[in-house]
Amino acid sequence: MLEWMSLLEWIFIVQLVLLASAGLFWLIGRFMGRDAANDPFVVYFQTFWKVFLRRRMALAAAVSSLGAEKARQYEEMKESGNVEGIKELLREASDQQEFGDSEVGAAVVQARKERPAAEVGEQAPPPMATTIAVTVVPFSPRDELVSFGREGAVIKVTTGPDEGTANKAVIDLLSAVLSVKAYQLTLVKGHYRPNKVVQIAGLDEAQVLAKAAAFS
Amino acid sequence: MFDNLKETYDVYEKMDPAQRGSFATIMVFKYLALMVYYIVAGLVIWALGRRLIQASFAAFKEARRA
Repeated sequence: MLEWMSLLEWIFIVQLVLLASAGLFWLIGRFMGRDAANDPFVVYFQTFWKVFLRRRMALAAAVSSLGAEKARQYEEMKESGNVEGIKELLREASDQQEFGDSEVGAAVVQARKERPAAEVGEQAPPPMATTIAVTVVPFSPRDELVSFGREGAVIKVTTGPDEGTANKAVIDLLSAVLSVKAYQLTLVKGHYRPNKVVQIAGLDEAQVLAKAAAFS
Repeated sequence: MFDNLKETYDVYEKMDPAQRGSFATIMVFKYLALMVYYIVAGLVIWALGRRLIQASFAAFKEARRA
């Protein structure tokens, strides 16, 4: 058999076997996903096919359908790397179509790569941003900011960790307290954990601490 | 492929010079077609492999967050 099949053909067959396995596992994940949509196994194979089949094309279509004002907001968010904000914007604009962190993140990275060297170079001032640690207490009686200081913020939310509702509540509450737009806040770490890190674009550390002091 | 090429060349050397012309033409086209096949197959495998690896890493990142 090796006589008529070259190494290239063997590699191709291995790739096809891998793809067939991924397809089978995706199918299994579809059935599992009914009960456990956030299961890593299900998420892995769903994301695999999204990226493999270039859902970025769907992303590009959604972006091109944005109106002038939203397109400007999209560009701003892309510049500041606000993945959560872009997801929210596209969800509203494209009939509740969900885009994953990886596909939106890839668009942000691509935008940074495409930026002219002069803009990326030393002359360009670094975008002002501060990160804060946030601890979330789910299933609370109401949405409230319990404490906010140098060590971070503690936020109580009524929702549980279900499909990003708690994350949205955290962003809404923080944007109200800090008097910034929701798209200026980016959830950097802890998308599925109570301990999160949020990046605030447009405010430096002193400004954030001043607002924290005003709160307490 | 290279063993085959050597055998073909041996046959070519033993041939009557009058017959060599058409034989050489056929062989040149045959090996050109083979080379095009390997180049295209290589490109397809490279593109597919690259996308497989990219998708695997992106999925791994996303699954780790879940």
